[in-house]
Amino acid sequence: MEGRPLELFDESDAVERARGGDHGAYGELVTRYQALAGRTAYVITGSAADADDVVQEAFVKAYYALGRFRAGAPFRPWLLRIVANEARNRRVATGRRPTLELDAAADRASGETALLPEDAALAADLRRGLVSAIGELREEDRLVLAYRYFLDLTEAEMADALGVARGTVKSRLSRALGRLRTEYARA
Amino acid sequence: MDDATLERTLEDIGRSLAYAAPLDLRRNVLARIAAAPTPAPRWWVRIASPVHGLRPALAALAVLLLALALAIPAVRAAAGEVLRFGGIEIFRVPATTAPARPASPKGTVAPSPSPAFGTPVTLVDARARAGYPIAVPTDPALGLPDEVYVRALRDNATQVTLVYRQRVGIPVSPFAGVSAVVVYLPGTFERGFLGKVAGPGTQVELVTVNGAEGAWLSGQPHQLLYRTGSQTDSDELRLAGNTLVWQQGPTTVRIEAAVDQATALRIAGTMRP
Repeated sequence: MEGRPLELFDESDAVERARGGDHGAYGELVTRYQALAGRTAYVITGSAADADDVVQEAFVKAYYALGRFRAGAPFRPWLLRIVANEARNRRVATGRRPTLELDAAADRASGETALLPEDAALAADLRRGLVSAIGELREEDRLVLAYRYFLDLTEAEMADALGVARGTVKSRLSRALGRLRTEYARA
Repeated sequence: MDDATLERTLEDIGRSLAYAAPLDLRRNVLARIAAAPTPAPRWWVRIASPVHGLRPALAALAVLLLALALAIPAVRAAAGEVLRFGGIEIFRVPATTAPARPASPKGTVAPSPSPAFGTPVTLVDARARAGYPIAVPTDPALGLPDEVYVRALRDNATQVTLVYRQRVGIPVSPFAGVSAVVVYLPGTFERGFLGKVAGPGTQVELVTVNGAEGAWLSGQPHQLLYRTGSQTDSDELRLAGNTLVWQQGPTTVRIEAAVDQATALRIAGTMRP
């Protein structure tokens, strides 16, 4: 195989440069983490328009807060705490109940092309049912599920982003899954 | 539904959530930070520069005046809206707020409460030092405070802060570094006041708390500042989350936490004198 150099993104280097006032470096961080931040905001606010505002506001705030970011610490959970806080404030301020939606074009199970049409329909029903059940959960539960399954954070990152001890993450996640099952069964 | 199906379906949902960050996000963020050469400027640079368009040093001076001498009529006039009740004044200013100075040197895992809270003491000592009644909330959402701090203000006044480091269901503020704080300020000095500089993203709502006048501030974090006595001396300034503030007997009490208004009022209800 041709030796293409690995595309390395040195997160702590980018953070350090951004702290020094390098806007380009901060731009890289924005590009890299906008999907993560945006989805977190969307899960909390349940509104794409609110999430757009929140994510922009959060990236601006995070920039100004970089001075108290501990050098060498993981950036993602730190950023997500700012995003979640901003999103939570937005939701409280608007008083809207979050409703998540699936993108119809992308709403497809992994490997669904191999499914029989009736199985695919069942899988789609399951997804829609779970999405509306998630909407009924408390924010704390939605967030822990989102971090684990939508954003694929590690347990350490989840603990950091949620501001809880690592040992707490597992129990929170399993309680959230339990309540999700209950909500799903109720619907 | 077995666990594997549930987990796989959740992952599928994650891939098809109907949200994609806006295409111009990077450009917009960079445009908004373009004015500042380095991150983490002091708060007054941020709060002042968009309003006045002054050079940072002058802008800093302008808002220092706001912080230190809110009594100056010109500065009062600059605030778009002022709400007054009891010893509390809330100023709405046409500026975007930004995070203040670090609440802790660490900033990620289990940050320490801000040193600006003062000196840690026992509750008994705090009560003795304060000289006014301190009703500790008995709401189960908070439980007992993890730490109690006292801070000497001018005119022999004492500020008491109850700190709740991490509470289930109350996110730790990335700004203050704790889940919640309850702060008592003696309202005994004639000219003492507490001001809130509320930016456009902050909602201010007058509420009744335990039968007394109060205010609920929510939305974007807002800077809090106050002055005691007749001295032009700004004591403390840091970012607050949602805040419920009210007069209680001889004190001004506030609860700062990322909770909704109903929860804050419920907690305040357990502090009825």
